[in-house]
Amino acid sequence: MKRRARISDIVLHVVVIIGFVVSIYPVYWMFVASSQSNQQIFGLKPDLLPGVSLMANYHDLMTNSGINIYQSIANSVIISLVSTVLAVLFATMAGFAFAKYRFRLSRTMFQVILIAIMIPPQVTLIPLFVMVSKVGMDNTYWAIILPAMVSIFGVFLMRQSFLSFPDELLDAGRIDGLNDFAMFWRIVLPLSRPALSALAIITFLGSWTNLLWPLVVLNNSSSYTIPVALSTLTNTQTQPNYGMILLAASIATVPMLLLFLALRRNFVSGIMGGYNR
Amino acid sequence: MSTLVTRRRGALWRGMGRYSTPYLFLAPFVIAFLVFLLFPIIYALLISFSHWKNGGPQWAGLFQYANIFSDSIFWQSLVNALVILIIQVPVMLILAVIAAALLNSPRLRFKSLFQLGFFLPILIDNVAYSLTFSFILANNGLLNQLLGMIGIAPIPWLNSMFWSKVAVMIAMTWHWTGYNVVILLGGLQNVPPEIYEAARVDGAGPIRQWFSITIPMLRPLLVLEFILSTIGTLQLFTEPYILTAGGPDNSSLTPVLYLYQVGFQQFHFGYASALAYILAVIIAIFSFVQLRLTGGGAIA
Repeated sequence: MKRRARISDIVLHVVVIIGFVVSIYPVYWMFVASSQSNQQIFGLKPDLLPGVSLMANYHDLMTNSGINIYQSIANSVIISLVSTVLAVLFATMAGFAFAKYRFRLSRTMFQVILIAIMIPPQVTLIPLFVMVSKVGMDNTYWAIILPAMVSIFGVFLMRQSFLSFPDELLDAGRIDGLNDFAMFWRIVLPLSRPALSALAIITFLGSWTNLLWPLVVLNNSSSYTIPVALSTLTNTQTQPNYGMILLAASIATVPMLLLFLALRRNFVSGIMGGYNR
Repeated sequence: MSTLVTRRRGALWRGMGRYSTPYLFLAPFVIAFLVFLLFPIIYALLISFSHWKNGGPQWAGLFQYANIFSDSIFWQSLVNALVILIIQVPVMLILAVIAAALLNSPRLRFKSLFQLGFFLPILIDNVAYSLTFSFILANNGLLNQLLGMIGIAPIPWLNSMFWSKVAVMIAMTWHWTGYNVVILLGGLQNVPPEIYEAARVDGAGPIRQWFSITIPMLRPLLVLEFILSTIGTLQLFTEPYILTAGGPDNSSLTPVLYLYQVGFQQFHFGYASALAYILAVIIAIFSFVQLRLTGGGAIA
């Protein structure tokens, strides 16, 4: 019995280690190969150690890539942060109204929103593009931030979480003379941290990795977000320097890794919690 | 007299304030919703019934929709997405359930390190990982180098009509399995350990426990993941755009990639909008059928 347990333990660990290696190996390779030359990357045998072309690739990235990777990171950070704050705030306020107030049109509005979530976002690509071009907003942050303010998923998530918010706390706040907005700001928001951070992380990830809409609306390399900047790298060059492209991808990955390390617990529980309710 | 009036006005104002409070909470979202979602949705419908000429729509009735039925490229892109859907989603979810159960095992050591590793792919931007995989899967890339070491001839992952879809599926599975693992781990942690204890007392072995407790407890989440993955696959864009650009010969073209080409490389706004609406209908049908077949799960 004991021996059988030991064998199954070994199998368990071997299987998990295989999955672990498959998960991290491409990431490791991305970083390592960013210091290699094309000959090393496409050699006959896998080269698992860093090469000597890091500086050459970096120089190439800075001068010949047609993008400014640091500018793109800054653009992505600003756009993702602002869209996340606005989307989360608006969704939270709306979710609160739907969960805690009875008012005319409440049902109708909720049903219209329900129908809208079933329409895939690609439907709005062309009308939004026409709207943005008409007011001359292409190549601006706002072209990406404004449509991103609407998070129907967020309204559902926050409404769901507010349904179980105790009414007694709200009544206590009212008796203490707080108006509803002060109450929302000082009582409701602080007590809703888990749902808020779940929504914020899911929204931020979505905004950070969004390619299609920014690709449509940004055509000036100084306004590129990271996904758009990276996506142009293979087609701007006739003889691509693959190490340089991987270096750009690696640099672009660093901010997300840092954010993850800073918020590790919230990150995992955010994705878990966003769906487990 | 005057105090009475002011008091009344104050009461009225307060009453108004209370009455309007929910609308004030809703206002920012609803305004953004109307301008940046509902209006574009309706506008897209109008555009889909027109030719786009001189910067505006000109009524064309059902012309664009009629064209879709004879557009073999669109139907090919849809078939490609369905092939990816039918193979990739079940494979990914099975891998995710197994990984989640193993990572949740009390006998696993270095648990948080392993969980971190499975989580890592989520943190790599879609374009960054697709670029990385486009080099890994190149003819003389890393995967063929590794296969060469065990004597397997190079596979034309990105250059063959058959393998291009496999390449997209490999990349997607690598990236998205971890996301589903995290969600399922959350579900597993909600399973009270007493259930397993009771099952053990009743003489149920690990395999029996797996099928009689773990899977049923995860069922609602799996249904949710299944539907979300289906929608995601039908809207697939980044991976084929970067890995294969839809080729060779449209063998990995997806509906949204085709929509992008029609709308923003050929600038046929009317036709692209009609494609978007047909895609919306197809996605709605799929979600509806899945909800019916699975009995709702976490959503209903």
